[in-house]
Amino acid sequence: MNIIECKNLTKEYLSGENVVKAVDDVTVSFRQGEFCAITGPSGSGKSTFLHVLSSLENPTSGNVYYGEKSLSSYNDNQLSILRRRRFGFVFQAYNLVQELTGYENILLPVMLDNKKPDEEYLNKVIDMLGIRDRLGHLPSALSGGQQQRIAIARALSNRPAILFADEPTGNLDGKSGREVLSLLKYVSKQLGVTLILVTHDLHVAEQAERILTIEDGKIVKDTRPAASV
Amino acid sequence: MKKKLTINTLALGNLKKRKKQYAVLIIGIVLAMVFSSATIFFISCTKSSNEEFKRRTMGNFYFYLFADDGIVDVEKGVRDGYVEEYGYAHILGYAYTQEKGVEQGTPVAWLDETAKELYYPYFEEGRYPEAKGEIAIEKEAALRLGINPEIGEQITLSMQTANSTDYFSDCVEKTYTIVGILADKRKNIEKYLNTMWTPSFAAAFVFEDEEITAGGKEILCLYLNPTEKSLNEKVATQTPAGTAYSSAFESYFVNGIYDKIESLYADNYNYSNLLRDIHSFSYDTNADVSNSSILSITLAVVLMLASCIGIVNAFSSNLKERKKQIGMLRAVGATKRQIINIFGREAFLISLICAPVSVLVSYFAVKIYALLMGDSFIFVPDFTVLIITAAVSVVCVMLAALVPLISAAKISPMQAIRNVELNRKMKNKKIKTQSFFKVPVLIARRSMKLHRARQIGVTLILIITIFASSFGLAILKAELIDTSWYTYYTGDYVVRRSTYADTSHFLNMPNIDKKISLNNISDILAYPEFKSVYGYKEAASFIVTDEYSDYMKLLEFDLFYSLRYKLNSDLLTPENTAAITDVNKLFELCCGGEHQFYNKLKQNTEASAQMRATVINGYDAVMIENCIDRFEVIDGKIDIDKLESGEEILLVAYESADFVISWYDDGSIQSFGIYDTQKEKTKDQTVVTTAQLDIKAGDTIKLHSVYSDVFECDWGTENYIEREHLSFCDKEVKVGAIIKPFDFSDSMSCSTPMSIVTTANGLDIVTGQNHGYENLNISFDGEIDDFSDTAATEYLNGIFAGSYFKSLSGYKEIQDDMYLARIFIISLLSVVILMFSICASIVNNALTAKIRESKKEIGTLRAVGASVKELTGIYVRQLVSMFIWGMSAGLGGYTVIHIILKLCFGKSYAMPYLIWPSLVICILLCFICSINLYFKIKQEMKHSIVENIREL
Repeated sequence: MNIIECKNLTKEYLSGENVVKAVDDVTVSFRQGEFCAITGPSGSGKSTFLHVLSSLENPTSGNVYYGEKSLSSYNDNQLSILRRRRFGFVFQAYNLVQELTGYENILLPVMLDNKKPDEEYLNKVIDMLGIRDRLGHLPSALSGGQQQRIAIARALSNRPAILFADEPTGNLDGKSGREVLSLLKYVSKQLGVTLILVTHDLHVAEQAERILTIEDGKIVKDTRPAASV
Repeated sequence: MKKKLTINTLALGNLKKRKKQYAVLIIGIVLAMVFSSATIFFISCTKSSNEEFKRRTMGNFYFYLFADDGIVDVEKGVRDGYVEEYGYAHILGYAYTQEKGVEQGTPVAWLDETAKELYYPYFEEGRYPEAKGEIAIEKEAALRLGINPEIGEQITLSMQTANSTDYFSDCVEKTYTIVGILADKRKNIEKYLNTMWTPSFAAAFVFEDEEITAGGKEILCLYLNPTEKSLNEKVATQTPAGTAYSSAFESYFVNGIYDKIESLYADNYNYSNLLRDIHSFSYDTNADVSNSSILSITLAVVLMLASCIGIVNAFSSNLKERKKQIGMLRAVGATKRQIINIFGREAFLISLICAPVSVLVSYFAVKIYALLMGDSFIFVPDFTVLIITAAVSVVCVMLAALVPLISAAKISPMQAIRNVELNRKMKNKKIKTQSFFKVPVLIARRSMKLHRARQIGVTLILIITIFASSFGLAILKAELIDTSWYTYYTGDYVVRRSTYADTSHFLNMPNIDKKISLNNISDILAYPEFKSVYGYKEAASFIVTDEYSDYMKLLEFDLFYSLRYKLNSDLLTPENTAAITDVNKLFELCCGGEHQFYNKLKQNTEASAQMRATVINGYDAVMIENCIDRFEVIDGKIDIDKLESGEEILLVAYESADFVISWYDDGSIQSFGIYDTQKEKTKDQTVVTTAQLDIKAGDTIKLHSVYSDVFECDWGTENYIEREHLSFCDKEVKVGAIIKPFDFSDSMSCSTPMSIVTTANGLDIVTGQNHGYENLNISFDGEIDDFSDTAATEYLNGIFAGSYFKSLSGYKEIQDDMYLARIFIISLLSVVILMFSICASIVNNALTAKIRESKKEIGTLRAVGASVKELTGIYVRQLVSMFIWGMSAGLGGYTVIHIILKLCFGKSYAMPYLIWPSLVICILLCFICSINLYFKIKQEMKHSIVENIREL
């Protein structure tokens, strides 16, 4: 069953006087619980594709469907609610709120939704990510790997349906990167979350169930490596 | 070709690359600088406007003397260091028109070069005469002549030729062409004079080659400015009333001339009056200017400090954004000094942009204000102040920039990149992780906690604005709302003395001391629109008694005279005062028990018994009737009919009177006087002795009134008037009632115990002669407007022209007061609005900078599902917090100062306590800023989340 799909998705930018097509007429769908890596060379449009797909950016043309409904029919408020309830985001630069502690950052989507936190679930996520002893610290007191774990916990705190990760290991050293990736994989599998991850690292991509390769804004390859199967 | 990389190119490069950020920074700094420079410039312009206004309306001279016929040795004054500059008006004659009559005329003169500078002709139109037959005239003087002046118009005047000290009574016809219409000076100077003696001050000017009519001789009138030193140096003079202090100029120069004039022109008091009154007016204005300078400097310093805080704030925000850049520069080997150099130069470049911009904005703001204010605000920009303000602004920007710069340069590269500062702050502030929270509330609270220093500047500016505006608005309320526009005059028009007549405390001199006659009153009542005229008379008399009672001794003239004369002696000290147990001892101590003055006077006035001087106050019966319920009657009953018939009088007295001395800390006498025993005394007042009134209602008292046909001078010395000049009137009257001293400031007053009050007719009867009136109160029939006021004033001027009396218009007084109040209100309101606007802009600017700085955070929060409501909530909460702090501290400070002033000055501090307008303005501003914030966030949300996140 498809959880999210896009049809004829195009995103154009103006670069000086030239129009650049970062995403060029892409049609693709993602199944529930699937771990999909989007890869491609630098500047191929993979991050832009992820941003448009996850509603962080509006497409120039085409549509993104979450379930049956097109995201273009959502207003600003509805998109905010969708993001806080159904989507989770992990960025390359972690993007934690500097004034909030680790735990408060994790609680952000739940609190924005005015819900009572599900302590049991959160504890499970925190334990899976191994960050219990770092929860009371401000982001500036944490290492990159720790910050990214907090970011993953935040992305998962509201039990999202889809986890979007944009180069989550890009800022980390090899060991931390590997750790964060395994955690992402493990946690999303455990929790049944669809993971759509952008990476330019083939070793990372190889761990996914499905690999989409983008070049010049178009999907040039859609493969499912045997290892993952 | 590659450019050489220098610190300057780095600094300039920063400016070029971050145009948007710098634009906001520059706006913030400009606003902070305008906050102070506009106010300083406004104050300086107000000061120069006042000075220019004074020059235009009163001239640029300090001292004026009519007919200096060799009276003043000015050259000696120059040599002795009393005179700075002087010039002469050469009066050729006194011009008037047959139509308006001689009273409405003006002297015509030519001015020498210095006199021109001192008279300071300000032309509403035209120029100074440059050829014979041309005339420049003050507008009001022309109107009084019945001429509506127009340039090029020919006028024919009747001119009495000058004879060096006065004018011949014959007149010749003179024709002039009007070439200049001057702003009024004579009219304004007259207001401050106790005379309406128009022939003394020239208000029309001709060319210097204009010749005087054959047979005449120019009247030389002296315009003079003293030296600063002689004006500031204080000189002590011993007078019968004690030690008096005056300026060296006044003491030596003015008094010297005054004595000379008195001896030369003993029969014409106008000379001396002119001289004295212009002098005192100039002195007061100068004192005002110097007081306002101190206030201005204080205000300027406070505003400059507030601006600096604003600038520190703006730079801190900017450097915060660029911490990573500083860290990077430090990482690649830049020393602290180099960092300060790069960013310091940047600050210098910014200050070079900001200083002229803020000075220009201030200049035009004040200019626009001056345009709006019209004639009442003369825009005289002091460019020195502008240049100084610009220079001080540059220094302030540099100093203010240095504060965050030094702290930024201190941080290590890693600190800059990883922002460990927050973590340190968190530890210091003991922040606890929250497990349940409202996102906007927590982020706002945390942000304020961790970045408190940044908000202090903005909050301080808010505090200063609210504090200052609360006082300003309280003054405004006192001036605008609480003022009921009334005149101090007791009628729509009043007639008062215009000169200090030679009066006596003891004698009546009807031939010398001219008063308002019944004919004058008939003339007034002949004017159809005057409804009624009431007046007041007074006469000197003595209460004759067989024996001095203690009460009389307590009020004794000799006692007071001796004390005043020996004020600085050790006649009375706190120690020997304690030994005084009764009035006789006091009397013995102070006067040696002798009634020197009365003893001598008794010989001359043939009084057989003891006597005490008193003043009989006679009010028209209707005035007493109107106030009958306001008198505090101690004994008896007020019967107006009996007062009218001269059968009874009212005695003003306390039932029991205290002789009270107020001491200075060093034991010398500050003041002394007679007080009601019932009145509570202050801490520094000592009751020396007390006496009971021994006269009751129904008692008969003897009045001995003395008349003289010559001026009684030098009283108190050996020179008493010869018997042949005196006549007497003795009457016995009943004391109808005893009333307490009273002061109905709007109608009548009498504060001296043992004075007598009766009706005007009663006064004539008990003193045996018809007395003229001292002043008149005239009621107008119906509403007064500009037109009817001009006509009525002109009519009254006609009656009293050339006399010792002048008429004053209550309507005009109210109009003048309202006009001045309006100017004051507009000025104050403009300053308050300007301060609040700038304050709002600074607050807004600070928050805009914060939003810009927090773009990444906004993007992150949007990504995790925050809507515009939550995002706006974060910033609005911070804004509200700043306003609450600002309001609480500002209004709290205002309240505390208000209470302190109330406690210190008691009832004399009459300023109302007013906080709600500032509160309303603040809430309104907060609301506007919140709306603005909402739109700023909305604007930010027009960008995609990715753009927000990537911005930095």
